[in-house]
Amino acid sequence: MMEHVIECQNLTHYYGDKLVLNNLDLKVERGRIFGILGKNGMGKTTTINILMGFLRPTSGKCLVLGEESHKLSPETRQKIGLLHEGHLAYDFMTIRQVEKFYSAFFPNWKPDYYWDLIGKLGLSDNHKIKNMSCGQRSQVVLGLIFAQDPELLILDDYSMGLDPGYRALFIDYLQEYVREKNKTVFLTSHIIQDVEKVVDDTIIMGHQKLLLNMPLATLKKNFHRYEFRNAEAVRYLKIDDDFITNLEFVSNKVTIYSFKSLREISAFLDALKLTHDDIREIPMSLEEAFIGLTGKY
Amino acid sequence: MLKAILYKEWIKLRWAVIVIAGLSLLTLAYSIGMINYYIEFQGALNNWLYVISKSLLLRNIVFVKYLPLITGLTFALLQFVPEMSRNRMRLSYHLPISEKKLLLSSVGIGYAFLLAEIVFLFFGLWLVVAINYPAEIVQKALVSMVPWFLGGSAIYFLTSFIILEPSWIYRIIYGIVSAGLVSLYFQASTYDQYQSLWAFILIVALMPLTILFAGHRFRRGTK
Repeated sequence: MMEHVIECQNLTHYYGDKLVLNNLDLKVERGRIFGILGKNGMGKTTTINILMGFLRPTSGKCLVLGEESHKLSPETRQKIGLLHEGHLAYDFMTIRQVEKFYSAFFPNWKPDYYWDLIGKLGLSDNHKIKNMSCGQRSQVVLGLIFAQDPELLILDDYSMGLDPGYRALFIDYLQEYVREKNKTVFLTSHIIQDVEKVVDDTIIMGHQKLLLNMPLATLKKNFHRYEFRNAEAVRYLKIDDDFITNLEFVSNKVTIYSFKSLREISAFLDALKLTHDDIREIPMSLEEAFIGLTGKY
Repeated sequence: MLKAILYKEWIKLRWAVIVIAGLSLLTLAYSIGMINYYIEFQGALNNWLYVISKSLLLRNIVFVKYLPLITGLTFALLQFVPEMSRNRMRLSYHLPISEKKLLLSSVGIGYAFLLAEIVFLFFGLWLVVAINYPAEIVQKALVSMVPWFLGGSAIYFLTSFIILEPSWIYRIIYGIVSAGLVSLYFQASTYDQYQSLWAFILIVALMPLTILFAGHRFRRGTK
């Protein structure tokens, strides 16, 4: 069995002269849920488009289930469930028509998954998809992906346009399906609180590069936020890759984001002769860690 | 899988197929009415002269001239605008079927419906004209109308190509070139105006290849 479901090496992409991805390396292990996070314009959509096979990278290689993503064979595409941004669907079809259409393409089609989800909507089978709300459409799309029974699910901004109720429903069904069937998921979302509930691993993208690729538990354990008060600190502290990942100054309050322990940071501040008697660690959610890594601006 | 693609294309085209078939029937009824009116109004002898020397059959069955054009345009728009709006073509491209097979079968199915409409209209006209005129006139009139029917095919393939093209600048350029090309099919207003139809047939036969070109550009992520 293949070790990595997705494996990208030295992935580089330009739009004209603009460099969007610079030598990105990425590996996704089988059976895990990966969340890719990044601010707008950091190359998240470009990465997803390359993985989905709709963009050929300028250089580098991206293998999905062992094949180059931009020339996946029909057999491999059968094993990948895609959720396109905005819950794209054939909205000129009805609930029944779209199921009939898709079922012809997938030999392992499991109609029960689709009809179970559709049953919750309380809509007639003849209801046209274009007349549905975004939340209802998301259930149709998720049902179609589940029924396809893919090995790998790539979900591009699944939370887009969904209200909290449908977001929770989506996550509940996804979690149950993925855990039960040992699927691999690669997802993006702007709602980081939801991502935190579902992912095993996080990938955080910065400008043209990966800032971080690690299990969520490791990130939560090893990435810290410390606060103390010192009006002088602004003159001596600066961001560096070794000790300080990010820094914020508000009045005389200093916030340090770092992968170092409290003891190491204290020693570092001592060396700079900066008093920090009131230093303390403030626990972080994934969203706060994300802001800590990427900055607020 | 082809059956599923046929099912999808039928969902998009079914109402247009029925409406166009209805329009074809109306056009045939109108043609019968026009021919009878002219025979009665002009008298059989004058009508005969007009039909021979003024190509009356080509000039007065104007709906016939443009119905294949309208049909080709409508079918291409109905099939491919829903696919390209919001990049919905991505859904089709992820189906476990080769890109060529997907594109050619979608276009082939649309064209089969168009051809059915065209053949229906063509044979309907043949009957309508054959009731009133001798075989030589029937042959001349219908052969002179063939470019209009080929023009319907050309507009279908070219419109599909333009819609599938991902770049708006290229779409505009292709649109201008296509308008010029299609207009060549509608120049005839007298019998035997075209020396040969083979060039028209050959051009139409090559047009499905443009669909593959546009589809490949979309797949590659061309903006």
